[in-house]
Amino acid sequence: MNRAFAQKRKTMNQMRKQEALCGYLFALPWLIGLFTFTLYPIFSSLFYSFTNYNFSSTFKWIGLTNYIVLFTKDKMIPLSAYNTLYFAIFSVPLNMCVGILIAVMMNQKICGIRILRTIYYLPNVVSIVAVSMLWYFIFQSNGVLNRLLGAIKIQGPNWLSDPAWAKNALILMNCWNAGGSMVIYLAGLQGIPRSYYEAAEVDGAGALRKFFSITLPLLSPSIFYNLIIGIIGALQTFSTALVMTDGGPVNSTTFYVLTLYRRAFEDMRMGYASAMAWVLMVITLLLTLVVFWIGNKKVYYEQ
Amino acid sequence: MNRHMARRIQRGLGRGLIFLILVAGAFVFLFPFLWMLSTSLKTPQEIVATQTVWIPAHPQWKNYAKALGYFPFVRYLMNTLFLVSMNVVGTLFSSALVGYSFARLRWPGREIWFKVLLATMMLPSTVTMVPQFILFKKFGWLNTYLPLIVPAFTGGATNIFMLRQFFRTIPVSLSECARLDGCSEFRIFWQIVLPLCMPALATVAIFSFMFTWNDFMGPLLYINDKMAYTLSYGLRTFQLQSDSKWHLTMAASVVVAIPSLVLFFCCQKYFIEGIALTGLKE
Amino acid sequence: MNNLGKQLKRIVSLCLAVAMLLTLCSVALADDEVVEIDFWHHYPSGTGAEIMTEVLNDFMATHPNIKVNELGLGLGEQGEKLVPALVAGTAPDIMVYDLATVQERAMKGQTMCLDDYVAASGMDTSVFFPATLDCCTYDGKLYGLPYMTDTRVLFYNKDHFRAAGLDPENPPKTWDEVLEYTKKLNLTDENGEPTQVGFSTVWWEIAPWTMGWTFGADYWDADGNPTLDTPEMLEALNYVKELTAVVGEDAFQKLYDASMATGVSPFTNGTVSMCIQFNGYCSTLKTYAPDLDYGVALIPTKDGVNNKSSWGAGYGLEFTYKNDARTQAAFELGQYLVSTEVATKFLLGNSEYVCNMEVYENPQIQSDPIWQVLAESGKYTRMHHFCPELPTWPNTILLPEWQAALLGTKTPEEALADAQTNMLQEIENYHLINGD
Repeated sequence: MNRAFAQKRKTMNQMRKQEALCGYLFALPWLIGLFTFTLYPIFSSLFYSFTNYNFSSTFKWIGLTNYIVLFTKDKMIPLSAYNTLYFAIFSVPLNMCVGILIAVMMNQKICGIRILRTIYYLPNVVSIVAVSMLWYFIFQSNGVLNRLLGAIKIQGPNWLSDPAWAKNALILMNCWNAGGSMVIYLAGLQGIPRSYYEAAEVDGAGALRKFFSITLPLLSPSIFYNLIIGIIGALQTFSTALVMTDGGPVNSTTFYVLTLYRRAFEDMRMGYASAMAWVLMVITLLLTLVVFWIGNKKVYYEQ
Repeated sequence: MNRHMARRIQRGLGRGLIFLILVAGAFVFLFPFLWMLSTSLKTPQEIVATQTVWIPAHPQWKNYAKALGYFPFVRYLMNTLFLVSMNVVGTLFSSALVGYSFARLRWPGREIWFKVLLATMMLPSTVTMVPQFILFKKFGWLNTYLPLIVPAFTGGATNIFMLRQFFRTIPVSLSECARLDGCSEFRIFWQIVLPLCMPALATVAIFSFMFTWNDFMGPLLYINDKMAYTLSYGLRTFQLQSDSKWHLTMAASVVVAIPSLVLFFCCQKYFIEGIALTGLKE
Repeated sequence: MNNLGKQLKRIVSLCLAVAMLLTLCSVALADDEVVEIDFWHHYPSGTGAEIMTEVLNDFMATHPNIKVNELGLGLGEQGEKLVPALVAGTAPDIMVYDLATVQERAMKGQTMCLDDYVAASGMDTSVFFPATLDCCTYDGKLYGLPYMTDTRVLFYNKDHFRAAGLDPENPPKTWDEVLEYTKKLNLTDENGEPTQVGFSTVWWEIAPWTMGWTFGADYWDADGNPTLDTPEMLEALNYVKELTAVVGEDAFQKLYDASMATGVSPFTNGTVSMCIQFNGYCSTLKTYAPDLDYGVALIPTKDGVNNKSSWGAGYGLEFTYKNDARTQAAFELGQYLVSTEVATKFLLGNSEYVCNMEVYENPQIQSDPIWQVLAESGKYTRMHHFCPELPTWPNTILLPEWQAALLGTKTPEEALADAQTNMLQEIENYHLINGD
């Protein structure tokens, strides 16, 4: 009996070792890519962040000076950090809610639903430059949006020229791109067996109850993904601001990465910009780890 | 009227209401595209007219011919199709493998490497662009398609993350049974788990297609030959002329947007109305 | 039979060998003779690209030993493509790049000094607009050939002038006259809604630098220190506030928004009577409003006589060193491109504002009243001072404060004082980072 048990344990160990080996083998494409393409640029930028590199061949090591200037003397940093955080705090939850809502509504077999889904995905397909002109039209002081607001007796602001409202305009624009997350949630919804809903109905559950007790938990892997990708993306937002408002008016839409871009390519302070990038990365990583810690308790994988 | 009937009517009404909301919202999402379409068919004077012209008096279809004549459209289309197909194939294959490894195979250090994967997404590309360029120069890959194709075969971080999430929703029991039956890991991956994740794979394919189709940064940096550029690059050089001709820019934008839309429309049956998978999960 | 076969084989292989030898020789000879150079310019497509191709073909026909590989980069892409290329050493032999930053690349040793080549070729550099030549000079040496530039002038709508009882051939010359004219040109309909405003107060058209110079302000003193809060600047800022008030902020905002949605300035659709625009605006007008009866004039100044100025940016031709033969060929191409006949082609064909002043003496250009004004404006056009500590100072330091003052969130005095403080802080930061 003991020998049979020991033999079984040996086979289990062998199987574990084989699984671990396979784990590395399967991950090999990414690991190869990491070491050949990805790590060199990343560590280069880390190195440059400790120098006064300005794209010329002569530069010198300056230790922590870039970081000190960044944290104490550069006035643009607190301002752009605030703008970015403002944007992230509002746009990430908004996009998630809109994405889930649309996906749940789209997850049915109605005639014409395919066309509807394509329409909702449309914004992600068209280029921002082509659409920027249109958004000026929508956001102008007596434009479509303000007229709609006027119909319900709200005085719409001067969206793109008022420093207090420009960020909000960009948040709304970003919301319009919720089609991307809609696709992921739709894919996730396919994995929820219909039998769960049917069983809930038999027990007398209403639509809301089904949503909160079945849909959301089983969708949590996708939600987790969209949350993290959303945070990473929102903290790095800048190209829309560049096209629509060029960081204005009065620096109200100058986001952190826009400042970074300007420092890097227009002021030629690449070392300093690298320091800015690494500060952003560390903060993003910390936020992500927090989300992971919460996620490990809340995300439901059918394991 | 028994309870069953009442519930069916309730469900029907609910569906109808949802449909109406979706259609109303569709106008919001469709409006910008309709505007692009409308602008592409206007004359320049109609574009700047003080009274907004919604439907042009005489649709200028010739704007499309003119816009497409600005750059070698067919050539760029061929180039783009080549790049896109290589990228989609490479990304699907490598992301699936690596995502599976992170999701369903236990190996030491797995979670740490996964955090590293996420960390690589957190550094803005602004600061990695120049070192990466120098790296590719050292490889001798400048002015070729290699920098735009080979990295796709090493798996994109976003796609790996996405697939990892989807692979983890498949019950572990399926793999365990297969393992005890003597199946190799690759067979479990290829024949059991992958078919259950078609919606996720279709999603990765769509995103990968769209990313490559619209990517202009890659061609801008690494290609120096006029004839080797892609459609998105051709479109962009257009858009940034100092005397922008909006009617032509819009026409070109519409044309470049259409293949993605058609693909999305047709692929829906793969990632939404999925191959029957509810049964296997129980 | 066998013998014949063998002989045939020998003959064939001999022929092949001779053919190969000849090909090799011709290739080798061709290699000796033809020098290939890369040229990246700023015309990806359109009329400019067509003219460029034609010009390059002419050049290659007259210089059979030079082959030019051209590539056109779009506006705004030059930076993204050229910066990595310059760092990695793969930049082209000759490139069209931003005039305002020539000194920066010269400072870093990324581009070649042209003094020897200019001396050897006997090129006369006094034909270029002085401001553009200054931009290409670093430490007393020439690092670029001024290629193209632009200038800003006052555009005014002659029909509006006539309707308001103003002389269409007598545009305003002083800023006070501008106020007078604007009051007459503001129109509203019976509901009080604005239908026309007299002057366009878009920030980049009445930019701080354009306005400041015409009031006699200068942002940098002779030693390279910033002087952003001088009394002249304050006067300029206060004037712009007054002008904005006379134009009517709400009125202008409405008309401006309406036209931005159409992608062009409100002058184009006839809702604004006067605006300051760059010379390329003429092409926009030709496309979108060909029947608009407009005139151009020099930008007004405080007293109409002194401090005439305009603001310009532009392109220069810069060179990187590959080997002697290539650089010599590249310089010959550069010389060709800035020469009077070739520059004239670009001006006449694509309305380019070239840096070569001789081009404007062409009778075709002299006879055009609009080009006359544009050419004169070039004499007074100035470029931004190159500040190595913070090259983007106009947009990152001066402009936000200017905007804050106009919006009323700060008083003009505070705004300019803050601009000066911030500029000094940035300079200090730069020296901290560079350890000097």
